[in-house]
Amino acid sequence: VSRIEEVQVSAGAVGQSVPRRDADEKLRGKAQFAGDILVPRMLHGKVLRSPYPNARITSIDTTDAEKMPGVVCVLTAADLADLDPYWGHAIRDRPVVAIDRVRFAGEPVAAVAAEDEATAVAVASSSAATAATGSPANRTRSIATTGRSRMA
Amino acid sequence: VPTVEGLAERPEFERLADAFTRHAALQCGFCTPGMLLTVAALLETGELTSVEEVKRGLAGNLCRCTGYRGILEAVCELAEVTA
Repeated sequence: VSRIEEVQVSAGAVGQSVPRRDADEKLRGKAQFAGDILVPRMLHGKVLRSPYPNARITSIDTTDAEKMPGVVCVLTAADLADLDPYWGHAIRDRPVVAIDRVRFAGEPVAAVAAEDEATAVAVASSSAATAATGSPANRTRSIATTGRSRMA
Repeated sequence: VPTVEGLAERPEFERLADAFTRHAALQCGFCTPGMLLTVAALLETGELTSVEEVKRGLAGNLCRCTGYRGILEAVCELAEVTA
């Protein structure tokens, strides 16, 4: 019994209800979230996502987007050539951005980094960039043809 | 437009903050301003007369981390209804 008491004393918070240390700043709207943080010379990123659940990417032309004032770079699958582009929580079967085809609506197709958020949004939402995702594929056999194993 | 920053300057806010803190009615804090503004408005109109009314009143505010239990308990205490 004495040993248990000793543990409770030394552990402090264990066995007691302790108020959150960050409760006050969150309750009063003073907490800083990631979206609130600004640092000098930071860039703003936005992702262009596929409007189609299944489509071939026939071409992506980033030249106009890259020429826009404030745009630092526009990244697509072409920029992944020299690195391993796949990731995933259980199975690494998702490319960072779609390669050759998209497999779900909302899959990232391109990413833009710009000096201000408005420019990044303008590029990512421009119709010229969207048109580059091409037309929906007629058949939905694309996932099986990659040969990558999937979870049952 | 009333915001949580504005609400926090009003004297009646301390009661809300105290209840939310004691009942652990927040975690990440993302939904907290919306919860507080909703609760402040509903307490003012006096329509939180039962647990069901509290649940209905909070129904449009989504929280993905506390599981609602703490929020419900805090608001029931503020509205003086049995949780």
